[in-house]
Amino acid sequence: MVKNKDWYSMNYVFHILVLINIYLILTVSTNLMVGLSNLLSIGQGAFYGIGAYITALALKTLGLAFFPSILLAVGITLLFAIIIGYISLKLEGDYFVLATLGTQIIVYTILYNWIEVTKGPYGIPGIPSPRLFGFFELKGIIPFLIVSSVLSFLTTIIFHRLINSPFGRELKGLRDDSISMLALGKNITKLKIQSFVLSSSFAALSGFIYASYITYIDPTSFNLDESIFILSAVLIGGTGNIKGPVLGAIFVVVLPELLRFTGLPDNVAANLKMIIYGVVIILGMRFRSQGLAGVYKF
Amino acid sequence: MGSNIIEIDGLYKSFSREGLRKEAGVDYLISNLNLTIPSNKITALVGGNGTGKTTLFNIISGFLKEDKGNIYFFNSKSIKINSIASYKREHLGIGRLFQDNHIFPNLTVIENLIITDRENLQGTPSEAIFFRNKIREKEKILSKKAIDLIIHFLGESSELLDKLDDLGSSLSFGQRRLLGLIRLFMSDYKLVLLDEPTSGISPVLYDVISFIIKQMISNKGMTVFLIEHNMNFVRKTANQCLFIDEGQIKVKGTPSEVLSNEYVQKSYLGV
Repeated sequence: MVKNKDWYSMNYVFHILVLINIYLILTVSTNLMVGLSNLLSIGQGAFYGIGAYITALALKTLGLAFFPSILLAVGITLLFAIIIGYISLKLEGDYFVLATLGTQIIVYTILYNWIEVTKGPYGIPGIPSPRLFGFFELKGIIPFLIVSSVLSFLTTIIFHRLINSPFGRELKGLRDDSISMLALGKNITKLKIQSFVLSSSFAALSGFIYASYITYIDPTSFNLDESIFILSAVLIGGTGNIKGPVLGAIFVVVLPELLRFTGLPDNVAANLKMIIYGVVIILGMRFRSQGLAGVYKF
Repeated sequence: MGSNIIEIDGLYKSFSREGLRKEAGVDYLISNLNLTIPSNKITALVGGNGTGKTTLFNIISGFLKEDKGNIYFFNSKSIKINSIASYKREHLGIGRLFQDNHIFPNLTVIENLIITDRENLQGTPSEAIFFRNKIREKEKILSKKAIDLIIHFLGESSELLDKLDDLGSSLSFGQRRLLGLIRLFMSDYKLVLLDEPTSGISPVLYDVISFIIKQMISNKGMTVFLIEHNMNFVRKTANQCLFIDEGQIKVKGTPSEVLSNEYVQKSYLGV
């Protein structure tokens, strides 16, 4: 009995760790676009959603294995991001923000209404576990914890390298002074598109883990609230480096779980969670606008 | 023709909503402007506030679109640059120093210098992910080049050498101006446009700035086109002087000739 209880406790911790891995990929990738390139997007949930839905179709309808499913999810999202990026990145500042809002609304509306493919508001249940190397079925919490940890670790390494490279330096330059970047011969439109596409494609990777781990997806997981939630996580953690987004991901996943132990009813805890996020953001902007561990002040 | 680096003919620029209206009218900031800039010389552009000097620089750099007129840049061949994007004009060899410096505040001093590079470092995501060691090696070489330039122009006791890893935002206005000038030596420019290189600068730095600008000609074979209100500096530094008024080049000659011209004295110098 005690053994079972311990196992459930461990499962709970593992589940939290998988969620942290999912959000860590989202925040670390969003940081490149929002933090380094100063492209404030409120459409990241859309790309996360596209990745999740392509994964569901790849695993359930096409019966693909682990790697082909990832490639398909990331690849299609990447193509979509190139198209959206090419159109929206001709806009600047507030107009770009509105373009990403438009993207979010369009994608959500398609997911909600294209019932033949997405099952609309009913969602897609029973997404099968992906098969690794043709025989190993990723089923159960521990395999998912390992796979999600490996993917989030690789993502962190990749984005750490991107930030601390000539490419990252050019994105920082773009954030600081786009006129100077043009005067130095830098193609700033290309830089913005690269940043946007990289961030969006990695959001699809999170979508892959989410869909295959939870085994059920519906459009409400990828709506505007989710996009704002991802953006909040990035801003709470801080932008411009790797530490900030990592802390942001941990904060937004762990905080609601901590509220469970306060003994508050679930409906109260859920609302309290949103109030706490709001208060943290307001206090953060007032007293620590660079977030928990970020570089740039907003 | 070959001895000029840039030739402009019939240039018009208006900021009125209607755009191009009647020629030679008062609607144009720049109106039928014609000029030539000789190669490997320092040409100063002088004139009152609001006469279109910075606008002309912005048109040459591609940050503003002219209403009408042709701009030819002579590198190895004659190129009409009117329809070339601003960042591609830099690739042709046109560099720029802005009046307010435009040093990147969140990059270090050394990063502010090596960010100019396009030949050694591609600045692509794939290079960042897969070729980390190669990047480090190349950055070492570029950093050495940057440090050598600082030492060459400012000496081994320069404060900039102590601030190589400090952010651009930590520099004084004068240090930013010097850094901006030295940054122009990191690339192989044919023409550099300097917008008021001495404005807001302590007079003790005038000689240093003059030295750096002259080195652009003697050391790197560049051509310098500068806007300046400091007439002593113009006399000391420039080979040729152009006076702009009412959207046109009204007087042209050596700095002494232009500054002693009666029209210039009355309309600009207030003598």
